Amino acid sequence: MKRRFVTLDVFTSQRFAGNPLAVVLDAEGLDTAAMQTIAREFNLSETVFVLPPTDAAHKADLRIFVPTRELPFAGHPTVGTAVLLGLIDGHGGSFTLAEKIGPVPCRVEIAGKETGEQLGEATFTLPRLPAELESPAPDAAIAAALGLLEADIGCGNHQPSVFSAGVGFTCVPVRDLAAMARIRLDMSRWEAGMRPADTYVYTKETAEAGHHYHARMFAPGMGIPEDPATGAAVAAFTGAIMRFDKPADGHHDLVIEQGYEMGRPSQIRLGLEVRNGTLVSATIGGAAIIVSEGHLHA
Amino acid sequence: MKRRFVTLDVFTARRFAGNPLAVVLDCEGLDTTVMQVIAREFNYSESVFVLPPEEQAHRARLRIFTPNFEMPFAGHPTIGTAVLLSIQARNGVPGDDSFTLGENVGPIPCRTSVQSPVLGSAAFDVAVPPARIGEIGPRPALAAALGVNEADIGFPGAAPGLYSAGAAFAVIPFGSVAAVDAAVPSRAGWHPAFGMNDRQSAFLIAPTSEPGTYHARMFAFGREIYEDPATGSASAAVAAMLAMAEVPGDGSHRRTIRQGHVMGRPSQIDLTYRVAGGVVTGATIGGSAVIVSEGHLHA
Repeated sequence: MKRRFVTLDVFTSQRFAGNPLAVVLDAEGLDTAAMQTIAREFNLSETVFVLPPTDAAHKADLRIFVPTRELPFAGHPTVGTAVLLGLIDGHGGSFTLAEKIGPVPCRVEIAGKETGEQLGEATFTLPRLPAELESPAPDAAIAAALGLLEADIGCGNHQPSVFSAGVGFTCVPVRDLAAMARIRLDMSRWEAGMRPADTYVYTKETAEAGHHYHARMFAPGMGIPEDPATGAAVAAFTGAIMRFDKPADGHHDLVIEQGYEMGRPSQIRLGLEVRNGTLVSATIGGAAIIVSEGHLHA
Repeated sequence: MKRRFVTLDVFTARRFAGNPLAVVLDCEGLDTTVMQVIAREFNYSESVFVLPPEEQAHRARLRIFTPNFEMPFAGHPTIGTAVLLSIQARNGVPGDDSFTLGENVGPIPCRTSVQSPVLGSAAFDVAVPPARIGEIGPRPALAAALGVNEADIGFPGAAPGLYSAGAAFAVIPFGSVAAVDAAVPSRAGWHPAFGMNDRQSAFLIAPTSEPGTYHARMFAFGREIYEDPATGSASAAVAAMLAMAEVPGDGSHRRTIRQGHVMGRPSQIDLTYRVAGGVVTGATIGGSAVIVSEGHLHA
């Protein structure tokens, strides 16, 4: 049968920047194996399958696949799918998407009505706040896996840490953009340096004014040598921000840039709500723009 | 503006096997930079852009891009695009067609057969006769680069080397299908075995128990080592090595190359090579292609 699909670039309002996403609508009747096969065929970092909601209070059930496996939750698929469902509705609003990790509340605004571009912005509340996992490997092992010097590791008072808000990341601060640009993965040293293997490298020096952090994400074990925009990594990284930056009580809006080294610049908005020195809730948001639309024979 | 595109799986008649290809139609007005950006967006091993023919006698002009650069010519894009254009020209009605596609390397005459509105097959003659054009590293270096035992390399009459029918591949013969499937290529060993420049793709091939049928894998060195599920240009190049091993005499010789099995994307490439006066004078590459998706791209 024919199933509709849409591809979008997410965490950008510019087509061919950000992180590409495929969204398969009309996914009813596809079993897990068929979804995995279709995700491998699209060969994008993630493919979403939209199903009717199991709980009538939700907008839709989502299943999210990388080319090799299913994920419980992911940021750029949530933002991209929320924008797409808003564009299909023809208006913004608030709704809840059900992912494997649990319900994810989203808020969508539609843009581009004047220009005819199909784009919008979505913000979702993290379904899980970050928690610290194990201790990271020594700086020397982390530096070796990234092809950097031990002296490149660290940024201000930031040290490597391991956090998860659903998916675990080794969070590695480096001194500046020059060190970022010098990163060359050494797979023979990856396992010794990165526990967990998915690695989020960041620095406070940014490519664009008004941004707060510059980041790169490497998940070679998932078949993703580098990802241009990773919401789940920002969710985990929120733990490192709380630990090292100790933001004051109140609301904080941060912009994190990623994908610049790949030529796919992306901007991820992070909202933090801090009370009594503790993170009580966090949101991730960004823009998404439709790139293609069609039918899949499957 | 909206531009039509179609994706197909090539060198297979079964969807979600073979080698995926994106074909963008209505490409007038797209410059090279935009084509490259779109090819990167599709993230397939190759994307094709179909333009009006430069020669009136041709069906279309094709430009072929990997996510990183433009190719002078490539096999699976030629087969997939030829099948798509003949399905469109025949409105999906089964039957045969023949026409010439203009690629950067020159004109490529194609013969096609439409089986249904979503399935067909095509064959084309390679522009350059298959030949052995150079040496590659010694056997210990090849074994280290591919993570195999040195003793598994080789079958009677077949010598490792650099072979080309327009695009060069390091071809490594193996004694058994199991030895090919056991290969685990290593980045550290790659350059000592295959050199630094355009000798960075390795085609591993072994005879099977079925006469005239071979089993292959292709690895390309890039940001990471990438395995390709079906490689037409390597299958054409390998004809020069098979001719040395088989010594089949003058005439036309049809072989089957199976690829992509370890990746779970089984592919079948039909190779016919021609020998005259003991020399390989040409090769034809053929295979099926099936339409997977159709849509519009905003670009």
